Amino acid sequence: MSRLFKKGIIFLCLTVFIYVILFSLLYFIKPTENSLLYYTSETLRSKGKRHSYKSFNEFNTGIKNGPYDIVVLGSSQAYRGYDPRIFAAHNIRMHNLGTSSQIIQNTEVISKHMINKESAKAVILDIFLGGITGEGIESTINLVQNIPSRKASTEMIWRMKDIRGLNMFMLRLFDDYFLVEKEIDKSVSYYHKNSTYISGGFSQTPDSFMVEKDDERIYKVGHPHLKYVDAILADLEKKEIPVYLVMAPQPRLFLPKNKTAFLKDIQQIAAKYKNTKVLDFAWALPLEAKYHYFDRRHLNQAGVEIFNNELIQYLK
Amino acid sequence: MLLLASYYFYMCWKVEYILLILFSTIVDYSVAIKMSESLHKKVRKRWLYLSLGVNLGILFLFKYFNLFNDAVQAAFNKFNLFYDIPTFELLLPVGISFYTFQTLAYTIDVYNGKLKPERNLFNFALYVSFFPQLVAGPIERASRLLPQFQKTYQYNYIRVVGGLQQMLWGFFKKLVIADRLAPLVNEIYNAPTEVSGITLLTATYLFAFQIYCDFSGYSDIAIGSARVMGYDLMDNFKVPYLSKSIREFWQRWHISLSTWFRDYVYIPLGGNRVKVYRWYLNLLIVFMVSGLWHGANWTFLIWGALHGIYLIIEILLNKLPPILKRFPKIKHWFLIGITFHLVLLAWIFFRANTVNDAFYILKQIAYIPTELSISNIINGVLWKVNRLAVILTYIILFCFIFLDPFMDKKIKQFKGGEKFSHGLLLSALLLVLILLFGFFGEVEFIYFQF
Repeated sequence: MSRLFKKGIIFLCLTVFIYVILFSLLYFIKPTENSLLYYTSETLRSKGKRHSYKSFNEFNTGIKNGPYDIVVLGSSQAYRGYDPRIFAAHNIRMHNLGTSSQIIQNTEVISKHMINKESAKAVILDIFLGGITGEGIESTINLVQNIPSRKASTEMIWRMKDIRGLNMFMLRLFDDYFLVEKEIDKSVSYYHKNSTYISGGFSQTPDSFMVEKDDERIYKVGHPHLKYVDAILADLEKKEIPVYLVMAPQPRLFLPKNKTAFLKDIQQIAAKYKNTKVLDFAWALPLEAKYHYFDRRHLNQAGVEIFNNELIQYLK
Repeated sequence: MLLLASYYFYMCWKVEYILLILFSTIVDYSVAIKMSESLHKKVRKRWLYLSLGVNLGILFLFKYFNLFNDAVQAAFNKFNLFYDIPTFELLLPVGISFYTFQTLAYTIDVYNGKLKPERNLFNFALYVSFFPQLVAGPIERASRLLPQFQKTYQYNYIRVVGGLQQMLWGFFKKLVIADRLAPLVNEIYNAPTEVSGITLLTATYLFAFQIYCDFSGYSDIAIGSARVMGYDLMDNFKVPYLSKSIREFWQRWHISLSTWFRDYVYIPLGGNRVKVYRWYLNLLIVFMVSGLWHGANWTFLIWGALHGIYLIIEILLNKLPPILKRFPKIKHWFLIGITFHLVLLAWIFFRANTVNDAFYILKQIAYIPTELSISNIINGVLWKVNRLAVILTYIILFCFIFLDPFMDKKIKQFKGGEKFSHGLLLSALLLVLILLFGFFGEVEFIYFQF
């Protein structure tokens, strides 16, 4: 058995050594403007450069001028649904930290590392069923690459336990070490090819509607990932930052019984905290799929304007 | 412990379907004992029929009922007769064809007196459900596997390391080759009308390696993991694309299934000890049944029939052009080339979504000579927008083709000799290649659906 153990250790060391060598080769060989590494997997290719990097850096620069009035956290429902320009028109300084398919586990890490008294006076946590039930590969590999805090990045990777995350983390280390500047490159990002990045972390979608089928998956009451909602609220209560749990408008994306069950779960958790309010806009506004939605999950700009103005009225 | 692990493994997919395995286990366990206790051949035969009826009945219900029902309905409609038996919307139990064939082999062997019935229910249950090979084979024989469950094993360094290396090679084939090729092949085969003949031909070549790496990769993982635990499973692949005849191909491809059909279908039909025309018919029947084993679809039936026809033609020709005999090396590669391309032709039917699609693909491939030009070839072979990613996949595949015979030999014959450090280096390299080039999405093994 000890022979196996010794050889196992040698094997692991060899593996790490070869991995670093081969990774470096793939990183430095650049047949195009991108390194060869980008062509090894769809994951690295499509998620390597996102607007998240810009958004996070703007956020870090912005807090030097004092805390934001509101910081938005959540998935694409968030970064496509809360426009800082509309908030600014009402004299509210807002930054949107929503990122693609952000799962609640990652939101918790972002909240823990980036939200404090110096950065936010209040938080809007966009609650979306997919963010609770999702597996989070897309979210993690995006954030690992783009979030400024390496500690947060490591924590996300540790939680994900997926090889794709490991490669992305390694890529991030190399980029950090060799000071590679990341920019929004629309050509490599499918998700942003139809939208425009707006300073403050918002992604503006055009006024078009894409018809898609309803999500018919059944939501399981008491989903295990709800513990992360609990953790975020507990952390923010400790930091004395008020939280609005907002369910943004959406066409009949999920089955009514799913929505009712999910909202009930969220309300039960929120009830434990004094500075937390739940705002349900899911089907509350007179929005029409044809005119106000970009696709089955996201509002278009016309929809965002109606929703944000209504939300701001409530917040005031 | 192993039995519990095996049941847990299966239940991770779908809990209810463990009842099917339990039912088959109890039926075959009891039938075998009853057969051995009976002195009358007639009674033994009845027990055998019971086992065949139960096992094949379950298989028919889950796998073939809808195809059969559709065919009957089509026939009734032709004569304007009313027929309205609804189709079942049942999920096909993973590995049902594999474990059903394994239990069938057991009862037939007991019936023929080649095997004594297993008295220990737990050992027999483990034979039916042994997790490394439960869902996609190799289809083991009771005479090989059951005695291994009766022994107790001690830790063996060579065995453990050899098994781990084989698993690693299996993962490499699956994650780096098969799963990288899968999206390329699927894109083309799911919309064959949208691409050129050259692209269709390219996708067919890619599919040949996808299915080989997918299935032999799984077999290596299964055999390797069993090896780590101290059990020997039968070899399932022996570099099949280097076969020099279709006959040899079937001695190297999915060996556990082809030997199963040889022992339990071909020989009982009379094998080659019958009149010539009957011999050919036997071959055709065996290969068509083998095609249907893969799935209830006409495409599989045609795929099987094609292989049967190949074999018959091979027997009929049986002679090579005399000029080839003078050049053994050319002969060697010529035969490999011919065999590979015959297999490739049949893969079109195996992979196509419908028979019409398959014929459309064949037609487009036949038109290739009319569209040959450098730019058409380049555009056809590198049809994706992101060409560099496709080229990288081709380079990896090219390296694999040369590496496969060497690795196959090295891993199967691993004895932990003096050059073990080379093995260690190679294993580390394989693992790194998996980490960097592997496809880590949701892709199932192709043979899980059978």
